[in-house]
Amino acid sequence: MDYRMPLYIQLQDVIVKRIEEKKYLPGEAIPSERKMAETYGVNRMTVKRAVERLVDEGYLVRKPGAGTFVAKRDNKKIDFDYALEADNVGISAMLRKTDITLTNKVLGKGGVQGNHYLNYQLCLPMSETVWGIERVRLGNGEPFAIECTFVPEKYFEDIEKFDFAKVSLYDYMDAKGHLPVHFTQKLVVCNADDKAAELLKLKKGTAIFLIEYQGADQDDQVVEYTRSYMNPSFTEFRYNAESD
Amino acid sequence: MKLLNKDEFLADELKYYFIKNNIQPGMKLPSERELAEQYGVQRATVRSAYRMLEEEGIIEIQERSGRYMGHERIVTDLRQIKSFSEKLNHIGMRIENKLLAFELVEVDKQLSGKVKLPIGTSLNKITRVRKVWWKEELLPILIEYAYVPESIADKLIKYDLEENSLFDILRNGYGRIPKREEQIIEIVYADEFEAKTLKVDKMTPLVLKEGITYDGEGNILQYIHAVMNKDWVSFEQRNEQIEQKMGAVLYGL
Repeated sequence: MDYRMPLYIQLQDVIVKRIEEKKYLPGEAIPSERKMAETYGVNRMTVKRAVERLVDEGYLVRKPGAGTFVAKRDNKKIDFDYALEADNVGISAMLRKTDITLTNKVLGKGGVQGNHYLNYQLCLPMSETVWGIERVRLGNGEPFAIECTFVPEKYFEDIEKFDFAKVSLYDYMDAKGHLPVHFTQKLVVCNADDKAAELLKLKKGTAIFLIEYQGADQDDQVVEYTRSYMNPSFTEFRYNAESD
Repeated sequence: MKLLNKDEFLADELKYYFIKNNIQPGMKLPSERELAEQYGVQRATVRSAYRMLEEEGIIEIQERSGRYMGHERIVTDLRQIKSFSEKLNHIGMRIENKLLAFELVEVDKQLSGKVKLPIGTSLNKITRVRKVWWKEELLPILIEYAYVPESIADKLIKYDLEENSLFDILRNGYGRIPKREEQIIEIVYADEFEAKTLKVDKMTPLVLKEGITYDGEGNILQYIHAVMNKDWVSFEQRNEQIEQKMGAVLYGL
């Protein structure tokens, strides 16, 4: 970029670069216009112009009263996470209805220490900390899945700083160079226990899907263990098998 | 909100304990009191963790006797086509296969959408029940309706459908090699016939698996509709590298 170019074009370039370098992740807010004006010593009108152009081009999305956010790649598909959609995965969860707006709510997150089962699933010695997040997935505001994801904290040291109600966990993991690409999966049907029933708004004992998976990155390091409880009235599963 | 409650944490620890100590199906599990002492938690926490494992189908409760490790599940590989008997041989379970009915049917409008064949097509319809031995009892766990076009397998009735897998018959008797399957898994509720056949209450949740098997040329070999006892089945994709890593780390934990 030539320094003699108009400032708003230079600024546009800066923002796009940040998105491409994954310094700003899809769903994440970019700095406010005031802040950017300050940082780059430019007029606020210049910032406004740059942002407006990027909104028009689909890089950014404005949410009135909340700020300006990096657009998600595909608003319809993305939040039904990657592990259930990737090519090298056996089973895919399908929503029974289309045109459902998916949202997430974070129930809890943080480090877990001394849980042998989680360390075992992530192939980590007990000296390592596991970081976990529990989310409810909602379709048109109705809960259809509870998802607990655990990752080795050592690969994701700044993970606490991100809001995974908005940012996709996989985009974040990708940005850290640890996108899961190989998976194990296990699907069973079980009864909703007290907690699952309450969160999914079902009667206790209702049959629900439990899907567990592990994901390993391109270097075969296990970087994810997830268990997800799904309400069967929203979802069904499909898979294609082949013979050798 | 805390990420894992005490009972959830303990349920994880118990799952690990079962793996580490290679606890086998049917083995008696430690009492609430023993575990409360061992893990330094309240008995109520142990009870709650045990209940979670029961809901997940990992352990079983017997009235006035205690808790026991549950049976294994019959695993369907999400990637690889295997017949039901091949799956069972894999884990060394003993099964019996019972032919309930053999019919010749014609595709009607409703079936047409499922088998993806025009109405009027002649099909062999085979209804079979699969039973496994568990605790000295023969337990029905699956009802399977298989539809095979007559044009693919003429005079199918002459084969022993209780002793042989349909795949083997198609392979060896008709030279049709199953190559690809497209399956859907859903939860359904037992109707009267299913309840009676599977020895469960009416409206018990069952796992429904349905789909079509194709050969290498894209011919439809069969359409299967199977309902199964949910506690006996799982659908899995395995990964050797990850499993090797887990095996290695288990020693050190």
